[in-house]
Amino acid sequence: MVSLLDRLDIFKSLVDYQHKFGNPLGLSPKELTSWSKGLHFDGGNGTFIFTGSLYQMAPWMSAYSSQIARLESGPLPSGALLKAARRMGSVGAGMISTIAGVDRQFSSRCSSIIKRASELLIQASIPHGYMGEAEPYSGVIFMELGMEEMFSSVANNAYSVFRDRGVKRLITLDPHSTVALREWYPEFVPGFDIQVDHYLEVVKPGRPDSSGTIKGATTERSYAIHDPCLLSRRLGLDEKLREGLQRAGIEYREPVRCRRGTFCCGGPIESVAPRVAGAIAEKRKKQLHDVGDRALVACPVCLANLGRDSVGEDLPVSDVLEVL
Amino acid sequence: MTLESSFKKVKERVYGALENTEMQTGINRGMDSFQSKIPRIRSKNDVQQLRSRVREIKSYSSRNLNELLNQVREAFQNNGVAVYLEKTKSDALSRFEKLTEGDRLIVKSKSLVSEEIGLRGFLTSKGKEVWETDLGEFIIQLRGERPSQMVAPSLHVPREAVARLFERKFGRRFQSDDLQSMVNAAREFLREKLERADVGITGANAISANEGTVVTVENEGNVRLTMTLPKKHIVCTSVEKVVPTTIDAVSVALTQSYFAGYDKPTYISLTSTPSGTGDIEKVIVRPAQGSKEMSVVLVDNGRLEASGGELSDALRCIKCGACQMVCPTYSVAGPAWGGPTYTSAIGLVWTAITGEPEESEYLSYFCLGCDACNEICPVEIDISRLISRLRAKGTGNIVSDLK
Ligand code: SF4
Ligand code: SF4
Repeated sequence: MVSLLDRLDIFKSLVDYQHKFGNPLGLSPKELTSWSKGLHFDGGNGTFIFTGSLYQMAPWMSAYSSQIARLESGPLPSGALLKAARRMGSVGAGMISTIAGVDRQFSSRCSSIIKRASELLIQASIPHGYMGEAEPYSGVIFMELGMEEMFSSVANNAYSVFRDRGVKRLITLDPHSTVALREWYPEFVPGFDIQVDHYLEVVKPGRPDSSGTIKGATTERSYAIHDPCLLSRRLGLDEKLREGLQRAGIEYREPVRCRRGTFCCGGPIESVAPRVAGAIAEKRKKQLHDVGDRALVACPVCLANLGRDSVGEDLPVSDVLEVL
Repeated sequence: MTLESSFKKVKERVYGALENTEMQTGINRGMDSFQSKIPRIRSKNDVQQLRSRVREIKSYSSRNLNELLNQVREAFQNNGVAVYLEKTKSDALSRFEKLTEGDRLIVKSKSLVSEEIGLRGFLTSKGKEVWETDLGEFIIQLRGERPSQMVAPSLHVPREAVARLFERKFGRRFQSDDLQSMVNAAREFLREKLERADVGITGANAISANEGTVVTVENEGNVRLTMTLPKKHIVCTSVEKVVPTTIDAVSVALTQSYFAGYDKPTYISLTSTPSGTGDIEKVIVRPAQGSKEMSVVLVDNGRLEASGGELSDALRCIKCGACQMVCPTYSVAGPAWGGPTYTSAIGLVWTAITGEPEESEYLSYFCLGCDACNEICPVEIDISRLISRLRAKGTGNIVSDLK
């Protein structure tokens, strides 16, 4: 008899981590900021890059949900399962990484992804600051799991950090934080007045001379494009994503469900029901594999969930920020 | 703690479904076929215009439900049609018991509302013989299951399983690629029941308040037979089906059919009065070829209470099932991700409205918030937001345990 984790077991660990570490997976400030090592940020006059911690957390989320999936499919008696789960919920990220095995290589890829976004902003003449260790987590996972009170308190705290730092404009890297800041903050944070731009709305990848031409190097690999749900349907950035790829000379193919009709990667429910998330990812990978031998995403949640090797087809997944 | 164990039950059921390859085969074949219809739905201008008109019709109707109900009751009475507004499931069932008193054989066409109130089981328990005449419903009746999707109740049953089922039922062999033989067998069996039946129960896609006209759309032809062959015709439907005019009602039915993936509907029926003829000296004689009596049971079962509340947008739903056919979670979990009658996507909200709020909250955690459902919905319901309301309610109930 396999035992399953309850909502409470899962939520509790996320809430505990948020209280202790300021993010729901308990990453240390070092892990959150390591991508910026050696970079200099000169103010930006109120414009800040906002990582929302999601790319940094992607490898942890992946490990965390694999661990839950393992617990839920193992023959552990419910008492032991619960103990294991609670242990995950009461120890730090370091422990998660030992229990669950965070993929360090994935972690360093995620650092490069954030770094690349910052470079592209500079290239597009958008000077920006970075809040470093003070950068708050947006609270998005709490909203997505229905913890509105928790979201509200995290969001209001975040806003006071933004105000203290004189933030006027945030440039976001992922669709989840973007939707949270654009759609939910105005509802939950009184007086929220910060301009929020997704990087795809402002960057201009590629050199002017290479614009529109397809790089020879990429023709042997065909990328299947995976539109992240929120990016295409909520933010309407499916065209911008393609424009970016075209400017950078990257060839891509469209799977059966694309643009506003895209099919989710399963990631949003990876903490509550990792096996369902895995089954959905498997399905999506098959659709992508039908048109390409690699996949491109533009979201850390998709990157983690479609990138799980244990699931479905053998399909390398890259973030657009790794190819732009 | 009972709440928590129920969440785990839902999770167990959904996880179990991930291993059910037969169900997934059925659902995926259906979803793939629906996917191939989407470009056509999107590219037809007239369909898009109709859809946006229907969105307005349903918005108006859901805001003016009580007024329309008063109007429609008067219209039915003027038409010589008995009309009953029943608040609860058990009120509705007692009404059906009275309306079918003394009758033995009952045929039914598809009606989700009848599934919601458990009508077939109830009438059977009262000693009546009841047959579903819609092929999909007939299949799930034989399998002892609930509908897995709004328009295609047996979507989860692939052809191979239908062949095996019919072999047991009819005692002869069926080839799984010979769909026509299976359909013929059902037709033959049901035709005999239809001809002998005392009562025909149908649903409704929409009803006009001004004229009391019931509109149904179908492709099989069973709805027409069910409403005309037996001497009694009873419509089992729900209060939110009422729209202002007959043209509105036909628009709703057409849109439902297009967004269910059909190129064009085979039959649309408009039924306003019992059958009759005035051909001999203009004296009305009932019945002529159709039913002698017609009654309408309008089931409330939580809808009026929901109207004006945070889930009220769902009352605009025309039950085309398109949101289910694009939903990733449904594609892997199938009907296991659903309540007793309504599954996945808007089905979660219907589950909440029609008396299973707790169940719907547990189900809500398996929604990805991906908005694929919103994108296809002809009446532009923000389904994922409604589901997020269910989730917020579910989490709200355990929030004190989180502190
Ligand atoms: S938002 Fe939820 S219900 Fe809608 S398609 Fe996505 S998973 Fe299904
Ligand atoms: S919510 Fe929209 S798409 Fe879903 S069944 Fe209702 S009308 Fe159709």
